Amino acid sequence: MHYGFDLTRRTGLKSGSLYPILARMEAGGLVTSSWEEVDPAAEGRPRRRYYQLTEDGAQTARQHKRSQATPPNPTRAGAQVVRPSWGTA
Amino acid sequence: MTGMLVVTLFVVTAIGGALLGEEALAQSRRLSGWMVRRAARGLPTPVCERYREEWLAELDANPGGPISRLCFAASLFISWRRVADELVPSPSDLAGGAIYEVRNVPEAYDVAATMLQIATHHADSLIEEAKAYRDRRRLLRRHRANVNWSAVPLQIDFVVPDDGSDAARLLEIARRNAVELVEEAGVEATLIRAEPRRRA
Repeated sequence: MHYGFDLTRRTGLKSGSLYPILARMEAGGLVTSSWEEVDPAAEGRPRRRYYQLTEDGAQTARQHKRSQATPPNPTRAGAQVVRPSWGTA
Repeated sequence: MTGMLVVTLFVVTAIGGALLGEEALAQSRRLSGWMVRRAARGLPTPVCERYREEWLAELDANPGGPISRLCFAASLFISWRRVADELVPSPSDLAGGAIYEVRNVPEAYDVAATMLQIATHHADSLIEEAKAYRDRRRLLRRHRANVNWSAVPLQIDFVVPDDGSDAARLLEIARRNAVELVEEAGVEATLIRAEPRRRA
């Protein structure tokens, strides 16, 4: 679980970019958020909102990671490539 | 004599600089807080308070100096509209949530009567929310060219028990009331499910 400022540090995103993304992910059920259960007076700081990936979010992240890791399809050997050439069109 | 003057000037400058620095620090704190509160105020009413509290806590968690805090706040201040666009409340979710809470209580008739009040009241809130959203979008349109306009998507779903109970009957009345309220309000692009969704 991470709170917003922690996420801006980890992702390198500005706060103004991060929160729209988090809001979209939350609306899409990819993350959930909840207030931390602390006594602000005892902690000497306000309570933070923590974000956590849902199961769907984790699965989507894994899929995305796999798709990023897959190398691009090599050009099929022998396949005829049609290209326009000058003067023939 | 000149030496004395230089020393005096040095001391005055040092004290003045320290005071100014302190003042600037206090002002930057105030400015950061103001920007965060202002950014949160631009968000839809149901989430406005949540984000105000969340962002002020984030500002507090920022271990950097005043510049870092200012940057954090300025980034939110500049882009609150983008956050707001993502946070347009889903009236159907809100209405569904309000009704769901009541539906789970066993005393059907009293509950249904309460449900009727809540649904009607909620429709009122949703209309206000939709109007505020519409006005905000109109305001933005004046300042931003080439905005792709979509009408306000107001949708209220009613989940009705399929048991012919008093609760179901009254909830159907609530649904009709809400439809009338929305129609009277003339909110753009109102969409209300014509048939209540039946529970399985």
